[in-house]
Amino acid sequence: MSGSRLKNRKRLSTSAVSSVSRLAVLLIIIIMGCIIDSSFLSMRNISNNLANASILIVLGIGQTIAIITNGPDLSSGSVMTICGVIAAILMKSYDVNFVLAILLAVLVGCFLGALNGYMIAYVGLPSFISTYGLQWAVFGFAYVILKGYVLYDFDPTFRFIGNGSLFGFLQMTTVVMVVFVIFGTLLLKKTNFGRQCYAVGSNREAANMSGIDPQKVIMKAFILSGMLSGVTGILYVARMNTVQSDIGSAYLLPVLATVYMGGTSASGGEGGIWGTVVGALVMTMVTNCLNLLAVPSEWRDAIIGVLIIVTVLLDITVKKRMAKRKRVTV
Amino acid sequence: METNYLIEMQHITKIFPGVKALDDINFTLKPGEVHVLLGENGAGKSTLMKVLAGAYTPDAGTLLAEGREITRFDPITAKKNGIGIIYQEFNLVPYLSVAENIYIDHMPPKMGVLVDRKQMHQQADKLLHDMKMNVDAHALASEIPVAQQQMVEVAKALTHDLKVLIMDEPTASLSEVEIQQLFEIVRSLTKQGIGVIYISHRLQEISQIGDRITIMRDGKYICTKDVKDTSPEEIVKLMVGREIVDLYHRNRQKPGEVALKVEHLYSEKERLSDVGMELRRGEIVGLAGLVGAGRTELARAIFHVDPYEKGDVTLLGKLADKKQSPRDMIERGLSLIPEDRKRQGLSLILPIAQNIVMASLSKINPRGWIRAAAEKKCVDQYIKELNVITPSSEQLAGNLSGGNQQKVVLAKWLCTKAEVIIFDEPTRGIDVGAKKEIYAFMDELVKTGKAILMISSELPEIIGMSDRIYVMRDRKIVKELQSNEATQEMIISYAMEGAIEEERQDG
Repeated sequence: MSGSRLKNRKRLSTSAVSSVSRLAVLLIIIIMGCIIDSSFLSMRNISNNLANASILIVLGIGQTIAIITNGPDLSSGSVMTICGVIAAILMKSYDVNFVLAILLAVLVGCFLGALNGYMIAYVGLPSFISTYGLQWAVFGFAYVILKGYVLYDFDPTFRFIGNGSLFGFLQMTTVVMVVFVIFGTLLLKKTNFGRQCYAVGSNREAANMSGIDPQKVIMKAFILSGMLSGVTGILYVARMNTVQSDIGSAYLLPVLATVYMGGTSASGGEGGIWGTVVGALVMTMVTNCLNLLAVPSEWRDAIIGVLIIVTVLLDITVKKRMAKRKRVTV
Repeated sequence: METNYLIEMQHITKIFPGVKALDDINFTLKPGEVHVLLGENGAGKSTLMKVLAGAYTPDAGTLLAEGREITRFDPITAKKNGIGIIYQEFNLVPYLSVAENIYIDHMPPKMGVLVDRKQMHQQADKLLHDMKMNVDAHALASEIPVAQQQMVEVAKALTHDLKVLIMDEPTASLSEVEIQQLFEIVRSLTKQGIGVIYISHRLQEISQIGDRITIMRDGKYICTKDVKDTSPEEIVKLMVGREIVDLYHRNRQKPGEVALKVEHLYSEKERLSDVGMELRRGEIVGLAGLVGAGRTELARAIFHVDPYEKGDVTLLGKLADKKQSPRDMIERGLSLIPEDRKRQGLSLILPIAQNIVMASLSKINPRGWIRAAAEKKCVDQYIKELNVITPSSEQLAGNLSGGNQQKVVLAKWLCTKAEVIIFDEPTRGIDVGAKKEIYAFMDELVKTGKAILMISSELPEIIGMSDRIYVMRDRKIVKELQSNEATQEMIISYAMEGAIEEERQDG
């Protein structure tokens, strides 16, 4: 048979090689950081970088699940905002216990995710339209209920989630992030639901023929994305100790860049949480380097933009090479 | 130098990283002949044709077109030399009209920059008429049936000064009648002195259309023969390098209890009307008919992918509810192996292993947690049983050859432990070696008491594999035949009653 000649060849899988290429980018940035400033790898700086990356990572987990299953959730920044705002108002204006406030806010996140899921899976709107439309509505709503005020100075127990630390160096935000990374990874890699996400995202029709209900899976994926956006909102408020009606708007594009840099395919069915974690670390550490170098902010955006394109290009090139070699041998 | 060959390829070699895709290939084409190029998947036929069409540059060897040596390899030079190619996957632009597609690279100009649409449509109409084709040149390419799309591809090639036409598996998605129409066109081309290179997996077509055959195996040239001097058995032997005897091997047995029963099924959307049939354990039942007769639609209704309004589907003694989903049917023991494996059967960007367990996730992992060991056991078992050739189960399904992909689809459905399996065109586009393996497996399945409904457009396959045959026409089952009394002619005549009678009157 034609394929017999590859029987005794063993190669790294495409995904393994492409994650190596991403780690290489991360490594280069860490080395550059060390050259720029000898304290780059100090416990303190690492701890800060991790904590700063955490917001991007938690938001990115939901985004990754949504993109793998169907398409980007462009409402995630706004859902993050409204959940932060709701939790803040409940605590400040209604003296609601912070645990209850968190639960209610995350519930709102789930509800907004469900709304997206319903529009996409059952009504049949493209995810881009549904989530982009919802983003505008939710930002508008956040502005209306906050009336342009800034809320700040929250209960210290609540704030512990955001800026407390364990053993002096492990910041709580990082702990929360790690919990959700484990949660997301297990969900995608170790459950039937995770398998169904990849199945629906890679070929919806084949998934349907295999007895997987694509509508249900898409619904669940967007609920998760909404929930994680909500969690991110809480994390942000607890860390920054302040909330306004536009906190999430600065996160939407970076989080998309993070997920795509992490190797999750824009056409669905491919990618994972680890890539997103690496992507977020790259983003955060580059920003850190640029800060250390005191690069003016207008140049910063340009540099980050180039970095995003280069990272994704590298990933695509590696995958193409691998695919070419494979296609020929099989 | 004067030569009477249109094309002469000498010692062509093409090396890709790690593999010799073409190894010292010789190939010639005379004016007015149909030269059939044969070989299993991966033998190098398509690579060779891509060299000829200018898509690849060979690493060694010479290519002569009408005696002149070709040194530049690009599609435009090839076109200038009169070489046209119709790929297996068509290159029509779906939202352009037939005429626009035909003249896509040289639309008749008007006032320098504009397109003279009127003239273009007139030319297209005339061209289609000359080919005796009943296609509206104004229709969008996406609106016309696959067979006509094929004809449009031929018409497109004809608008250039065509000397050589390469057709890569042109009949893969055509019905018997459409194949005959296509052959008529091919014959009219050869009468004009055009040489046709024809790639196909369907052996029975060779004697109908071919003059000479060249056989390739594993990137190597095996031999060239006149069709009249050879036999299908010899061809198969040369192709696979070993003898394949008894392609449709069956261990027939007495059928058991009724496994699937369909009564008075009506579907508004799919226009199915009053379909009734039954399938017993231990039986392979063939479902024959022309493309569009409603065979796939019936299978999809039985599997509850598409809705039906009236009628009863009884699976293993239990009546199915009209509202049920494919998932319910899978749980009750039904499988549908779809016709279009790339669109409906597989996730090409996922690993083989994930494809295999896709339809049985809740069976293997009843609590929702992946049980890696159980999955691996299932995956390894079917990769071995079905002889899927792959370096590992983590290989992406898209990297496999057609035959191996089909085996993965098969593994996916066997993994569900189905009792009743519907195969829709199980061997379309796969080579004879893999075909034989799939047939043997089907026989094995019914021997263990499972029941198989097989939809197929290949009549020898239907007759060779089935115990009974249902023939569909116009969305109805019109005839039930025992396979030992059925002939190809009988099946065709039931499948297209009207057409045959007309022909008889004409002749």
